[in-house]
Amino acid sequence: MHNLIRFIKINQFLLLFILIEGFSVFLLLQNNSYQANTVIKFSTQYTSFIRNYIVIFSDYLDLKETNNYLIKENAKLHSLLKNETSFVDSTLIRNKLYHYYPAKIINNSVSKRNNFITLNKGRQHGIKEGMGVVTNQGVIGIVYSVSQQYAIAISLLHRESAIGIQLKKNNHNGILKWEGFDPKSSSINNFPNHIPIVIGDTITTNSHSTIFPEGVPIGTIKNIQKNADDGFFDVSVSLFEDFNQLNYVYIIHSDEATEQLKLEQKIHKDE
Amino acid sequence: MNKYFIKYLGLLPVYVLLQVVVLNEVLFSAYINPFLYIILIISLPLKTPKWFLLIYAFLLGFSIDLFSGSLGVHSTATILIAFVKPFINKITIPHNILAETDEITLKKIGNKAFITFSLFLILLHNICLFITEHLSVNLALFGKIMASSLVTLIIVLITQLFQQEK
Repeated sequence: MHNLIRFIKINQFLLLFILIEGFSVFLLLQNNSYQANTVIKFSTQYTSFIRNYIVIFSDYLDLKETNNYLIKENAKLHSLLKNETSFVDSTLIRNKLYHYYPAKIINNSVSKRNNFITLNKGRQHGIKEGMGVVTNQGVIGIVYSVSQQYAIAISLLHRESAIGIQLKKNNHNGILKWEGFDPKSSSINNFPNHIPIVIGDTITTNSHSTIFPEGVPIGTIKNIQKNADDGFFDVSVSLFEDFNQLNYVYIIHSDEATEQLKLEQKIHKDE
Repeated sequence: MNKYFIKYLGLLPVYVLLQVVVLNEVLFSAYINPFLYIILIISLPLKTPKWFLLIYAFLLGFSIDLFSGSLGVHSTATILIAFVKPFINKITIPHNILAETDEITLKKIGNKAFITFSLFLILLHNICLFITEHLSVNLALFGKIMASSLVTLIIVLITQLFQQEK
């Protein structure tokens, strides 16, 4: 017993280091789950509260750009309304009905490997985990953790993010992932090589998703490379949305999506 | 020594906010992300009790983590440099140049010693941080580590210019 105490006394620095470092590695490993852990959930409301004050100041600086953005979006919506003459056969195509909640970004990063976005809407406003975040220029992310007044979303610029996409011209599907460095581009690996793609093709979300509506624009093809190992195409996509200048976004949600999920879960269970 | 405890605990929220509100927001390039907050670990006096050093490093890293949404990334790297700091002290800082209760600053230990000492810690911090963040090693990551370390060093040196001589 005496020796043990002496051992601890001599090596107290090393032991304390191992203890604290072990604890922080434990926290690191906890993070890999899709659902936010409780510490983040708890701290969101306080860190966001501080950030909200900072945003109040910085808002004044880009009032002009925000105005321009809103004018452009208004014009786009007006033209959509005026030209609404297309006949949609509701028995064949039935787009899910989506609710849009406007939200303001109060924290965002692009330079990390795993980026998160903090939004100023929370449980109080009807936001739940798993809802999609979009702008009129593209997919932004998926809501990951919600507190009473704030929400944190996983950005498209995150290791775990994988968005189902399709080519606008011929509806071929793929999965969009982020390589980890350039916030302006993203990539699709293992794209089948028999599909005719050219640089400049537009990419949108596909119809499989329960989170995003079909046809949200994402970006254009910037570069196509044939993978020497398996012959598939590695495609890099330049994104429409500049993630570094995000300001206002929409959180979207469809009630019918939960119905679809339920149905699909049944199949997974039967398997 | 108690004077330093209070001073450094007071500086902690200042540097955390500076890091989170200013430095993390300014995008220099996709490859550069400076971390000024480790200056607090660098400048802690030689004779700081080791338990304080480690716990302080944890608090510092953990508060940065809380703001960035992913726990453990910054605290792991910061605790690591707090652990190796006493050993690197011995190698890089000349003996008898510094009283044990003095803070480690550019003016007190000289340009050469300060740059090697802080570069060691900054490099180690960035290597640990970016590898745990990316979980892979490639050339682009190496570039990011180098660019960020260099910019961090430059910002650390700039803060040293504002140190007042007593």
